[in-house]
Amino acid sequence: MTRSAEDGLRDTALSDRELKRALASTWSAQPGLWEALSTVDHKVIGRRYIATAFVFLALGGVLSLLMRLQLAQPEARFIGPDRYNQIFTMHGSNMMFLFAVPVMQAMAVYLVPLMVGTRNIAFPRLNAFSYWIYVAGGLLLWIAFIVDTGPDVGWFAYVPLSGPQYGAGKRADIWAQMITFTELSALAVAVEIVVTVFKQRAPGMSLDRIPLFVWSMLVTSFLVILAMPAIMIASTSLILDRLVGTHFFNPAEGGDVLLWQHLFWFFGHPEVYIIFLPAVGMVSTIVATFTGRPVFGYLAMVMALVATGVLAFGLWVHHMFVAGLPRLGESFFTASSMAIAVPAGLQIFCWLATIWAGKPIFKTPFLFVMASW
Amino acid sequence: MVALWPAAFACGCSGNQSALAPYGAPAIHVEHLIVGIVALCTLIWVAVMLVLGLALWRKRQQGETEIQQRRLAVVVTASVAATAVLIAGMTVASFYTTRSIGLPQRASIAITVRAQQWWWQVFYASSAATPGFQTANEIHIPVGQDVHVRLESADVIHSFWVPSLAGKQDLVPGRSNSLLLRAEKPGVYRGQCAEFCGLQHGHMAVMVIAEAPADYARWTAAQSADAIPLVAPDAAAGRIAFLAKPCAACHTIRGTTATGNTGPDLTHVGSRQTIAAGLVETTRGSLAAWIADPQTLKPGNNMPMVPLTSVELQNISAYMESLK
Repeated sequence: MTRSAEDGLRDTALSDRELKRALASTWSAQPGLWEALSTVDHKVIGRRYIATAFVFLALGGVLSLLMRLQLAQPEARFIGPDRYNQIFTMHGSNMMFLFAVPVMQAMAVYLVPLMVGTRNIAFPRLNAFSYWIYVAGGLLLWIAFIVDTGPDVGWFAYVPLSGPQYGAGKRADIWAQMITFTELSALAVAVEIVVTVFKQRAPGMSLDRIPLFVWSMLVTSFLVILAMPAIMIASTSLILDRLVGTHFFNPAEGGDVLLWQHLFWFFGHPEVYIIFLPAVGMVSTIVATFTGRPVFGYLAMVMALVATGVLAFGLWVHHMFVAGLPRLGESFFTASSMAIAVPAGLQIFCWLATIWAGKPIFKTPFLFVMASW
Repeated sequence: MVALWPAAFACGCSGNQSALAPYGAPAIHVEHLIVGIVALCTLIWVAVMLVLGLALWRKRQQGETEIQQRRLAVVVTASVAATAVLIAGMTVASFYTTRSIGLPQRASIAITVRAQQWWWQVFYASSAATPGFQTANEIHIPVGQDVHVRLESADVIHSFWVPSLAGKQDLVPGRSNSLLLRAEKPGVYRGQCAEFCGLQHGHMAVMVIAEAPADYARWTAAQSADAIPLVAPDAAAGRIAFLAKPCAACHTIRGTTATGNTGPDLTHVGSRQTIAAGLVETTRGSLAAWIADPQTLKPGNNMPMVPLTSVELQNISAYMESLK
């Protein structure tokens, strides 16, 4: 770009050199531990977020090894039933709430601002807060497990097993509190991503030009914003039932145990796509990069992402097909669950067309994508 | 790896607890749906893999033309349309399967199963031939007849699942569900609680014994009768000990003063194949081991350890075994 063109865009009287120095002092990281901990740079927080999520992944992997050891032979006496129930509940909760969702959002925290061409994510301090509240949730859960107070009611925590009558001790309370921490964190990141994509794109980058990964994170963030309140309502009602003595889930007092399942799966099913959509966004980006051509059918791909996001909220009852709901309702949810294969298939066919028309370069990221088929 | 697949499937299909080894009409409908959808999806997957292989390694000409672009668009659109048609077909198939495993207008036999942590309480309603009776963890049904199973829970959510005979259905506190159970062939079909229900969820099995109608009639007649009078001296002594100890507070033995209803009805406990919800085979030894220390065999279950002398333990075990 020539000097004269640049001059036209400037809104400062500072000289080039002074401007550079001012920018550097504003944006560069300060040395020192406190500065490192209190940083609001999305790249630092994003990396930290990813690393933390991978620590939880490794811990969750250890739990699954323990389970496989116990199950290696019938009636083994390696782990008692109480500890075993804690282990599989920890494994599920850890993988869903401390790894899968956070790691996808962490990728977005790192990549989305870079991809839309902005210096930092929207609400950078909220971003830092979301990381620390996530760490707090993870520590709460794992410390409780270490001191033998880990939740033991499954990652889905069905009532009445997790309710006041059958879930003794503080275990289900710990689980519900961990949910509050991690969902707060997820909601905060989702809001940041939506605002970053809508308000902070580089000049000239209209919505039909943002990378597909950014689109997938935008749709995912809307899913988080719409789905997470359901689980927060559920976990709050559970805590109230347990600690205050309300009867949301107590059939003897007019409550309903299936209310829990509706609330949980209204979050739990979109959760599947909260994990799935970022991954297809990554695949689109990798396929485009390693075939040397833009993804075939950009608009169709965006529509597929949006369609998946919309359908994601019409499927939750398929987790309750054995709960004894009316047949007619079940048929509707069967149809909508099947329908999600259409946008999924569309994406597969568009990737195939991209590879067909492009020139594949067999490097590691592309090999990973191929192996996933 | 690929060569091992058929072997793995063969293992999965054998045994008396497998949805892929169906012996009842509802289970057969479900198995057809499973196999059909898996086969169709496998074909589609293979086709997609072939196209992917071609796309990766085909000979390429220089540059991409308009015509090529348009052709790709047509192929992609056609594939999406085909997906939609196949999906609609599978949805309709699933709908018909669901309908065919639904409850019939009238079933000849009605049973109520009330699940508890961690065993199955089973009620047979009275009929013209026999008065009603109660049993536990073992359901007898006649071959070739529709059985209407009412499902209820006394505490948390459980799920009744005998994969070789029928679909799966939850037992939800505060609600009443129903399931059609039917066996085409005599046999012992194992079921398992399929909704995590606490400490001993893993030890909550149920046996469905399908038998010829005549055998079934004999069984109901025997089960609806009171406990038979005793001849053996150790069993008679066991009966006195049983009624004197706290056992009778939780268990019923019809024809005696034991009328507790917290634990399983023991009127014909000796006739059942297993005790403690499929935990161990019913023998005098296993009965003695269970009575002596139920918390070691099945930690957390609701049966307390009742202090007994070794003679009392032997006699009570003999008494239990005699209750055919």
